[in-house]
Amino acid sequence: MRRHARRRTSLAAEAQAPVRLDRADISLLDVIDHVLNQGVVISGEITIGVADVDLILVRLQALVCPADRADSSTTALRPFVTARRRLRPGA
Amino acid sequence: MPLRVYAIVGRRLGRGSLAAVSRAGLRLVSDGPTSAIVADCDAPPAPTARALRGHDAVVRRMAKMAPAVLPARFGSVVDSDAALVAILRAWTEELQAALRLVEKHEQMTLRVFAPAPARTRSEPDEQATGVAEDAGTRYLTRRAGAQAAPELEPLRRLLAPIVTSERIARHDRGPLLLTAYHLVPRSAVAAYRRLLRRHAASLGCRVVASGPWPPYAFVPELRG
Repeated sequence: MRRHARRRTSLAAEAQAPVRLDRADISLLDVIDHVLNQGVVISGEITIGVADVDLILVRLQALVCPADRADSSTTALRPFVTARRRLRPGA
Repeated sequence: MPLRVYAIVGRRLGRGSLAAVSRAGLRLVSDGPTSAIVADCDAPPAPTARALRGHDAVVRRMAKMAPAVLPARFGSVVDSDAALVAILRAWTEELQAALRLVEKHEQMTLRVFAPAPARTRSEPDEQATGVAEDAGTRYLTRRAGAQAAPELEPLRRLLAPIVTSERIARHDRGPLLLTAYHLVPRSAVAAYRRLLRRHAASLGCRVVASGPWPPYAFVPELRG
């Protein structure tokens, strides 16, 4: 119990610190921003296949809010689900 | 056969690295001094979380083998080896220049958040400015603003000795104000993090830093 309380305290303190240094692999949103939003575009457009439907990638702007990262990761992936629904009504 | 492109590297890899590339189900397509790391694929990749992380993992593995790597954007697919060779040949100069820039460097990413309740930015509109701005003017204004980033100035001065290059992306809505991508020599990443820990408070904003990353933000635009 004391160990959990100490961990909660240290996490809360970390969240309030002026800077937080994350490991590179800790945030899916960061991965999305880097691999989908940046990098060399080899061809004129990027085509992403989702459920056999070709989509043209729209620039994805990731909002990274450290207070609610768990919710943000779901929000960031939502555009792909929404697009699939638009193209396959009734799915 | 379509190829999925993961990264561009500047030199032919050593025998050991080539073997490692092959074991990973990848191969090289080369034209002169430029090579691309590719995998044969049947269809464009689906952007699942696993696939996105997998793409990054491959790029990171390549970054360990080659002194310079330019990550390709996820989903980069070309029709054939020949098509890719033509692209590499057409953009040799730009790719080589970018490879020279990023050689032995890594990227640190800073996200700067508003300290108070989110301030919503809006584009200047006709009523505010009294001037009708066309799309081109708005684009140029945004680009100029993107590189300004005065919020970073206190930190920028301290980091200047170890930051080779910087890219800025401003965001239209709070709480995220801007993202700064810094190209840092691999040998200086630890020093960069120390400086950040010591001096980030001087910005008066919250900063979340991640990295090191492969240099995703320091790649050339291959357009036209």
